[in-house]
Amino acid sequence: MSGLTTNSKNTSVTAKEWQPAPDDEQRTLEDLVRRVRKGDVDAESDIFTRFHRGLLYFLRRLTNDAALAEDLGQEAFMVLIRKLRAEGLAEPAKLNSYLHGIARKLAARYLARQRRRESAVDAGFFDRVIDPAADQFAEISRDETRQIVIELFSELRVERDRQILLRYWVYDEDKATICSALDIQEPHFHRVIHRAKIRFRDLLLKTDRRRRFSLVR
Amino acid sequence: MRNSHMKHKDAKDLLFVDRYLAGSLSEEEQTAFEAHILACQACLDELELTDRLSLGFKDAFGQESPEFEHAAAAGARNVLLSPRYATAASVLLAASMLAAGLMYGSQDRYGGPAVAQVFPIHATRSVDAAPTSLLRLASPDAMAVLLVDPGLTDHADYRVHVRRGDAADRSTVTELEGLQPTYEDLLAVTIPAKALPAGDYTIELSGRASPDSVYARVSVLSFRVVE
Repeated sequence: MSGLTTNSKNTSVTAKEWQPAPDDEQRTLEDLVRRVRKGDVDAESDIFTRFHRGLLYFLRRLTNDAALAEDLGQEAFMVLIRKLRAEGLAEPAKLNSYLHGIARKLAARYLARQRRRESAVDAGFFDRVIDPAADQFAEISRDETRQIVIELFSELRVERDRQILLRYWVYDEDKATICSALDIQEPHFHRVIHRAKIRFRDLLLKTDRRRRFSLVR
Repeated sequence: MRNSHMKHKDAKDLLFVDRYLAGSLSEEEQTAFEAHILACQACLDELELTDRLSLGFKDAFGQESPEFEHAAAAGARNVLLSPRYATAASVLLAASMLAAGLMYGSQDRYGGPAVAQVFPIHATRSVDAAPTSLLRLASPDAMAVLLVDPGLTDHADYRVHVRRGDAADRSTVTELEGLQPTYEDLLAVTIPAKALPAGDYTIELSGRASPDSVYARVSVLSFRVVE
């Protein structure tokens, strides 16, 4: 609706273009961008804290190299902050999309240079599972994780649920294939996967707490 | 997508985490989701958790795992490589879990489960009546999972009676009732390796039409444990 003017008893609203009311997230991002533009160093630090973990996850996944992901992440933030200081951002609510775009371009440029330097291209380069060592449970080793998965699996009493997890996470079958092979409905599939994730998180937290308690003692 | 700015509710309701990790998002959806996770701690937490879980499963039960290697050494490699035999793998692994539980007291908490080996038991015999199913057990601590074919019979459940097969020794090794085919219409019988010293064994298979009826013999199979 454009150029709409309404008059009611106590209020009048005139709008050239209707915009949805900004939510909290949008207001926060607008505030951060405005403050950086004014030279507020704390706002720059807030942006880094807000986006750093997600940016590193994305870059680690793209490059399969934790150290490279850190370097590219730092560079992406520098590019972003320079832009915000100089010009701000036309749509502050899309700050994360803008940062994602910068990071993607930096990574693509670096990887293209790498490929030109190396004669052999590893076809599976982008398909590797990233090392979970840098996630929120970084103190829990890969071998401990393996043991936790075995414990989780051993708790399952229903044969079909065990098959769902094996087919999905070991054999990499897709949901439709698994549902068809096991003659189950999608909601059941999602329930089993969701419960496994919940239980896995519980076991990780238990292991993490046990470790912290033993360190304190 | 209407625009590139994704809300957490949309990401959650449309199962973007699993679809992203499976590589089944469109390019536009992938870009929007990747931008979203820069700012959404909840989705990022779930992504990292799922990555770790997926890797954990592959480490525990994939082709590089000790469980797989031992089963492969027992001749079950082709069985376990195919998702069609996910049930077989599940039984194998369940046996490993059972072994781990039985041996819990003697192992460090993270000592890992015992080895489980899968052995299909063939129904045919050689001309000289010697067993054709030969089992070579990896260690006394292993668990042997015998896959027994009930044939074309259709019973409510089965009883398996495993005995020593020597003329001088017909003692019972194990007797299990209430078994039902779990995959490819086979019965899975789990026996600790230490209960199977080298020698010949017989498996008497019986079935019953209902829980209230008596077991009737279906077949007799044999196998030999070799050094």
